[in-house]
Amino acid sequence: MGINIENLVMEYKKGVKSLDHINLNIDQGIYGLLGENGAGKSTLMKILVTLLTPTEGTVEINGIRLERKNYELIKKEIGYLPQELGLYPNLTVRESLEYVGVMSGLKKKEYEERIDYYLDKTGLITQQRKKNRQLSGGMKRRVGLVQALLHNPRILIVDEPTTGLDPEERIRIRNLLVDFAADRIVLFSTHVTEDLAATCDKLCILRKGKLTYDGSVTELVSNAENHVFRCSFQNERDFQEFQRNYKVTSKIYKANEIEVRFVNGRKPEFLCELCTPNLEDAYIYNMYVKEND
Amino acid sequence: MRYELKITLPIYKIVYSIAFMVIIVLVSPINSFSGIITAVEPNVALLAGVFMADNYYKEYVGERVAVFYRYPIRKKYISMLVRTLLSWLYLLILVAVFYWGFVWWYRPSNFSQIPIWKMYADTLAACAASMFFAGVFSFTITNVIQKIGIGIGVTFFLWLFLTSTMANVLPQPVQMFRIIGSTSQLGVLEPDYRSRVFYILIGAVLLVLNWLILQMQPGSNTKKGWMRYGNKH
Repeated sequence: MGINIENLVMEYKKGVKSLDHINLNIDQGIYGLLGENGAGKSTLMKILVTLLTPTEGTVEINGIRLERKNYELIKKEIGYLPQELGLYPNLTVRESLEYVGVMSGLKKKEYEERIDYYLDKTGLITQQRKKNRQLSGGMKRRVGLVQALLHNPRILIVDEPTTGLDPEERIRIRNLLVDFAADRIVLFSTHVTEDLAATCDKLCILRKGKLTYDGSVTELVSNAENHVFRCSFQNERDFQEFQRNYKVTSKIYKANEIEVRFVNGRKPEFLCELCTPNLEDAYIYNMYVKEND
Repeated sequence: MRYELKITLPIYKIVYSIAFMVIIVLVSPINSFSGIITAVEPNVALLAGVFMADNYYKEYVGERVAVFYRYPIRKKYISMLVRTLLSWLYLLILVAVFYWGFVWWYRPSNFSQIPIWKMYADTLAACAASMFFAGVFSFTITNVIQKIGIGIGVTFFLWLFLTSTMANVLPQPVQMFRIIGSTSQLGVLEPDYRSRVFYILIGAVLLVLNWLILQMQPGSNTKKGWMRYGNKH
């Protein structure tokens, strides 16, 4: 079981490259796709779920080559939750899932059992008679996860599942993704590093369509060791001057000073203290500092 | 079927279609039964064009199409056929009811020797054919272009052409709303069934073409394609 991507290129009209020669191997477990807006995360996912056809490159999903003649086979292998799934407002939660079951070609008994199982697992069993339009953003996202899993795919692809959710709902979604990854590949994209730190041990980072990192979270963080510093400023003007030259990852106003955490290729000349990097620092280091080192 | 019924006929569509029919009754005075067909048919064809345009396009709401597109083509196609049938049946029932709305509001006379039930059946048959064509044409254009505004717009201009005197340049069997008979007091107006059959056949061909259209990747025809549906945050 795995996804193998070789030299994947997605070029839109006027030569805009959304993905630029991506090489990636994804095995069982939960895998994070990190990157800024417009980095190519959604494009990559849409290619994997057959919504887009790449310009160049090859993709194999569980041994099946991603090409038009295999699209129907690939669709069975993959469950997909897009970033904004509009549920039918007139249907109840259960009805929309039953509709997905019918449309996916599942037998009634089969989809009814799965709906019961996943509604229970996602904490939606008491909401199943509610109309979709009455659901909160988090509940809709959970219904979306259930619909993606209903045909029992071996790969689950989820596009920014935690965006716009409150902290409690975010944690719930993250935990569900971890549970669902026990016996399948879960690939999820985000631009929130916290989500990755809490769920993944493997991730890749995209920037402007290029793969800038592919590996473990631990390794990414260790790459940033000796590159994260803390210093203080007495006034805002000094800080503004500083910010022009350094990548600041946090800024805290204290009683008489501004405490700043930043990432840099080497220890600066001025007085500053070395810090233990977190995933956010490591991400910024990888994205903006490493290449200038 | 139960799910498709709820998806196809939301409250707002029922409300606007009924309101449309009420307005048609109010603004189309008639004085004989045979005049009802000319008052109803072209207008309900336009209604069908708007009503059915989102037959598949409704899936584009909130990226739902990304999920719908991935269903097996056979299921998608059957779903589209069921939606077409439900919309068409609903509109036909509306015509069947509002025919009597004309009768109730204007108290028309019947000077001809033709029984009222025959004129009623003629009206329903003609409307059924025109609504079928207009509806299928509208959602086919929408599905190809993947823009509902263009689907409805093209249907509107076609309707405008077919209801104007310009349509007389077409051979008679191709004039969609062609009526034969006499408008004299004792005369009767009947649909020219050759044109209705012609448009049913065209509609059927378009319906078959949708098998291919539904296999098109969503966004593939739009200027920016999926880039439109990229990150929103």
